[in-house]
Amino acid sequence: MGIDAATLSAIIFSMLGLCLLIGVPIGYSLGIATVAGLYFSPIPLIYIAQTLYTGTELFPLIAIPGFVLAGDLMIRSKITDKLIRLVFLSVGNIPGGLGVVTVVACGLFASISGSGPATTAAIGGIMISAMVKAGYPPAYAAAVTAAGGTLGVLIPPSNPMIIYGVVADLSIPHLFVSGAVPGLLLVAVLSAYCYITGRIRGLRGSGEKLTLPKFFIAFKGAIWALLMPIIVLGVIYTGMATPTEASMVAVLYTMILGFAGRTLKPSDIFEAMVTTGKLTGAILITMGPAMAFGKLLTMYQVPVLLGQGIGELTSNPTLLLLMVGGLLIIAGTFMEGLSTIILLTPVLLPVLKAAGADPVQFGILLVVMMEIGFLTPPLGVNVFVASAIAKLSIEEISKELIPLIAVLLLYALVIILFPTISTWGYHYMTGR
Amino acid sequence: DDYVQTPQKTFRLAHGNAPGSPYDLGANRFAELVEVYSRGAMKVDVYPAAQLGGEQAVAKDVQLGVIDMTAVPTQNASMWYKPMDVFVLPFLFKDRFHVDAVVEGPIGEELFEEYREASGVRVISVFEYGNRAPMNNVRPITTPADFAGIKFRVPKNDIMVDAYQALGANPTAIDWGDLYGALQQGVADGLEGPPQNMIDAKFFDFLKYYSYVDPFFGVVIMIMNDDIFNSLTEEEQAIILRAGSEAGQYQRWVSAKSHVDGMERLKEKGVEVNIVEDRQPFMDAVKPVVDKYKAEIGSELVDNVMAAGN
Amino acid sequence: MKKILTLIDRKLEEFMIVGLMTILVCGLVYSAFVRYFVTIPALTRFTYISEEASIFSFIWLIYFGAALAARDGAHFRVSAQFSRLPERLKPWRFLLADIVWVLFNLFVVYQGYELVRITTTRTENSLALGIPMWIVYLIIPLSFLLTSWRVVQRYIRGEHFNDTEKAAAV
Ligand code: NA
Ligand code: NA
Repeated sequence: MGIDAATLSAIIFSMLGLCLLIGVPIGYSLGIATVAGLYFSPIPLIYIAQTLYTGTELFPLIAIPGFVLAGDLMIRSKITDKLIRLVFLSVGNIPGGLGVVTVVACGLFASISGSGPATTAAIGGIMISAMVKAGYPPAYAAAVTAAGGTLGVLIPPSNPMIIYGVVADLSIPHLFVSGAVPGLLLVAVLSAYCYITGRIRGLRGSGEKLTLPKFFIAFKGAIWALLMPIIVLGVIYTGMATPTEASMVAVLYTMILGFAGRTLKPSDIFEAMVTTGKLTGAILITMGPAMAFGKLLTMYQVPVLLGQGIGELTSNPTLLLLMVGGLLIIAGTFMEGLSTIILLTPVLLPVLKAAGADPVQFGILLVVMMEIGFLTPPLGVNVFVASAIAKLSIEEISKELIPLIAVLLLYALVIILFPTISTWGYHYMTGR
Repeated sequence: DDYVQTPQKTFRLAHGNAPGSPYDLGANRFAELVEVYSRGAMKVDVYPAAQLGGEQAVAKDVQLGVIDMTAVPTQNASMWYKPMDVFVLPFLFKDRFHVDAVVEGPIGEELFEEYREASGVRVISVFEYGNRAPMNNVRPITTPADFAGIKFRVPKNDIMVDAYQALGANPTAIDWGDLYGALQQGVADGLEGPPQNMIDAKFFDFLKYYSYVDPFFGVVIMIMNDDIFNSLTEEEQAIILRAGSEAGQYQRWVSAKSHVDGMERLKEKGVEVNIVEDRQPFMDAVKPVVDKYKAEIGSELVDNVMAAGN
Repeated sequence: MKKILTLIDRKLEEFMIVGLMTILVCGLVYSAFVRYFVTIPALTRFTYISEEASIFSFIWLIYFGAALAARDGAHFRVSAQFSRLPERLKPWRFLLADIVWVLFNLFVVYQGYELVRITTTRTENSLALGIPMWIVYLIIPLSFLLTSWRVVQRYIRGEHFNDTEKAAAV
């Protein structure tokens, strides 16, 4: 085996830290750390090339360039301007109103998408520029959208819950129902955050008075843009397409609207595609190295050893969940969320079950911790998406992100201390 | 004491099915047997649930020597040697005795040896996925005509796609990552697989009819990187092969049993289960598909496999 | 000839990305359309082709996109540790990182070349399109070589002087 798990972990984590410190791009830092570990292990070095390929072979991720492109085209074709006008008029007078709209829009979109970054991409494309136009700090706008986008995995459907349901042998539709309660609660929490911060910081729109005729005119202007989410919803709920395919249907719809209204030129499409490709590259280049990094740790049984270690410390379910939560915060900083669930569930679930923790509660906790992982640097995919759309560096967003991460951490604590929030839906469905 | 040694050699065995599934039971039995027969000198770590990647990706990893072993259905490992697709021919096997006769007999031995030469991976055990029967929410399948117009998610394999098309269904591609939602929302009407898979993947939540007629029997090969195998001592090689053979027999028995139990459990979940007694109309419908691929796979091989059931 | 080379150097990733994005849009819209509206088996089975073409295009899109992001200095880095650096040194703050990055890229180019080479020694075709897999794997050595060149090119062109504010953003 060459080296043991502890040595391997020491090598790759110190290498990762070093690379990040000197400023190597995040995805590539994970790759370099992996190669450093490989060098001391008997695993052939070709592992890195092979995993860079297979680590990106993830079909549902195609929704990310899809929704980014659709959003970019909507902005270029000026379709969003009318939508933004409607939103301004409707909630412009409420403190933090646009933030609340963003969170609610994320919650709505989450009911069709099972992915966090895809939700961020779809809503961010429109709402970040809307908030910036209304005078919200760009970093705040990006952070709120990144946080709202995490709802994608908690509000059903949810890609991680499907995986968890299969591995933990729980009913997936019932898990979905269990996610709805904490999901809606989180919509309320994040909306409250936007309202309070909006009030404190004086974030509001034009101050224009809302009258019914004005609203009607704005609504009429925005009708084609408003149809877009309805079409995407319809396409998915009538069983016409998967969410991945629906993202491209959204692209097509925007193109048709743009051409019909003569607001979109072929050169706009070219530029939008190039921008989307660049964004996709910068965001998803992290996937292959993150997979290589996680898989190497798994091949050295690091998750198993951690699970056993935690299990030996205590048998109190609440304490166990707290420790597992801590572990998941750490894992969430450098690992991709779905891999974390695939790698850690088979290891942690038996330990928690033995201590008498409810597997449904653990599933919801896993998802909430995954949401936090979407936001924590260095590997925070939602932050990547939001910062790319807002054209800001992750440091610039960080300041606005910290309070939101704190809110989510508190929320995770609530999930741990009050199991009923997570388990109510499941047990109501199963009648137990 | 000197009876149980600390492990000298550890192997990684990855597979794509859930913990506790027939795959997983077989893989763990293999790991136990290797450990017992080597008196603890050899150890096999099992990685279930695609922890180390999807089936094709892991098969490639085994070829490259990154992972030592994996259990993979033949259609996801036939890219290196087309005749391996013989197992995917519709209605090839009469029953499990027929499967045993092929995979444990001279036909299997010769085919797996050719496969090793073409791929650089060695077949060390044969598992089964089992009888792949259709499950859908349009109507129960009793005759080939019942397939008409049903959108079936079928794996990416020409023979399987052609066979479902010949039966009158609309075969369609849906990636695993999107599959659950796609079936739930009705993007596809159904899919095919053994009963245990429908339970493990929880498709019973929205698919109503499970019809036990099995165009395909999933043969699964456990493959090991040949260079790694050759680097072992003769004694160690013998242990791997013996454990592989015994674990394979055990796994195929567990899986066969899971088919019977599985149909009962599907009924308990509210699925309408029907067993098709007369396979002949279905066999007639897919006959052109068998003829079409016979030459590509090798007609002698196909004839021999068929004859082994007599 | 020189003109063509210049054009390739300026626009290679962009043309590739537009082509790949077009395949993604057409492929996935096609899949949804024929499955729902046209239930002719001969057409629905073409979804195997469109699905595989989409996933291959997506992988290629990511890696060409990564090269383009390198060209435009748009990759995500941690850079707060450099905030107190004197202004005249700031354009050079990523120099060491970029050297390490390029060395890693070249290492991946070599391992990717090995992956391609080993794959060419045996038959291995994709399941739906039937194209040799070594062609698909070619993206790894190709894109990491291109990315290396783009990183170096920023220094040749002096573009590292322009990114002091917006370095880590797309
Ligand atoms: Na969702
Ligand atoms: Na993170």
